[in-house]
Amino acid sequence: MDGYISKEDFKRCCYDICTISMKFQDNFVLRTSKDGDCYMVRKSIKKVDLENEETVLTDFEESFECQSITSSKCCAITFEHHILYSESFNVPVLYFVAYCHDGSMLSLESIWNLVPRQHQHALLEKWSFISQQEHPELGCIYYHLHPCHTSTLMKNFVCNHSIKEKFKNYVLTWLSAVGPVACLDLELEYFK
Amino acid sequence: MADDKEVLREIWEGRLPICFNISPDEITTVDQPEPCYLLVPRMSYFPLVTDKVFRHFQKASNQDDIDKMWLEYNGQPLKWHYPIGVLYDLYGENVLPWPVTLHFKKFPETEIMKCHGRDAVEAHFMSAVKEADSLKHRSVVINAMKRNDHKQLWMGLSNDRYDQFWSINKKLMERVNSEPFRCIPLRVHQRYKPMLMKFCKSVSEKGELNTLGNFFQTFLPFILDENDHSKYSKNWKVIIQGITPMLNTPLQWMSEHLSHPDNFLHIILIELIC
Repeated sequence: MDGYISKEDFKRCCYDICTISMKFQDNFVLRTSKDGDCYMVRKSIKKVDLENEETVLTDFEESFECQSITSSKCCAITFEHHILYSESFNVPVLYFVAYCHDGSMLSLESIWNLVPRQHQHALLEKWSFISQQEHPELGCIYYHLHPCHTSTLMKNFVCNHSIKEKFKNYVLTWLSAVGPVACLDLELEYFK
Repeated sequence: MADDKEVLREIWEGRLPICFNISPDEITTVDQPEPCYLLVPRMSYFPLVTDKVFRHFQKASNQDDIDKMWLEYNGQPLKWHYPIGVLYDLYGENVLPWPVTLHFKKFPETEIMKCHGRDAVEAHFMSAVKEADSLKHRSVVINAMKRNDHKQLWMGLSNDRYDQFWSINKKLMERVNSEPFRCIPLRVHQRYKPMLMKFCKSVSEKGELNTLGNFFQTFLPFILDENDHSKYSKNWKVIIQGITPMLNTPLQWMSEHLSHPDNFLHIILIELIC
């Protein structure tokens, strides 16, 4: 078996993630797709300093409660992350969109700039890393992480027998690895 | 394959006459600028052919950022990431020369991708080629290629060089171990609806090559005549590369010969009763 996932397993993984999410209101929900299958959606708001090289992301709710000092250059960005199954590549794909408070879409340059430092190496091939794409279900323009190396990445988990026992959710594992580059961070609750 | 090279060449050399005008509300000069006429390859992408158009209207519009430029026909923004011929077959209504309008203001950012120059077009093109090969060969062929091969593919397309393009693309059209493609890369376009991808194997359960008619019968039966599935419905027009193929055409052959350079078979469905 290579690093692929079947559509049926993808749906099971998404269902499990949404079930866990519901327990602590983390906003992952299932949506029905055109073909009667499902995909996963999560909305979140993050405070982003778009002008700093060193971008610090904090969840809006937390910083609001802490009453931390707010730089005038920070603004609240609304993210919507969609996790869909690709039948072309037989892997999950992360689509997302990010809006400023004035409703305008974040530029591709800003999206690239938000990639955390530890993932900066991926930006050497930035055009084949994150770019715009037509959302397969909605038809409008989203950003997406290119899926063409996902099966290679996941092969390490799927085929490694020594950790196979603990490997329970392909989508969750994949999302923990790639989500941070698109401002999608998972709580530890998912991995207990 | 040798006998069908004429088809590949003919497809490659498809041309489309376009008349570009600038939107009236973009004009900052007293004089009305002349239209800009271009004969463009059907297989190419708008950003690769519109530098000249931009320069033509630059004075009248007082614009210096080509990335803000977007194109529209009949109120429909044109998605630059699809081949020009696909956009014409889908929206052009057989009008020639095709009257396309240039805009700079109010970029419709949820409908069209921003185009950041040729790098963006190349990235999008290669992304489609990789997806197509994943469908055909589980990405085996595209991953075996060197970076220079990818560049040859792109340079062949962007510079309109048939031999350069096909010297590489022939590998992507190979039947590895004489097996037909795992799956036919195809995209189905309808006006005002998201593009559809349907996953159709090259060979049917009975071991026969699937035809275009088999594809419609399985995935889009409304395209076929209710009483006679060997005919198209009178309510729909099907266009591939500007023509309507016979329903008994094998999909594998169509994929090898009628695909666009991105290696996808783009199928346009036009509803005739509105």
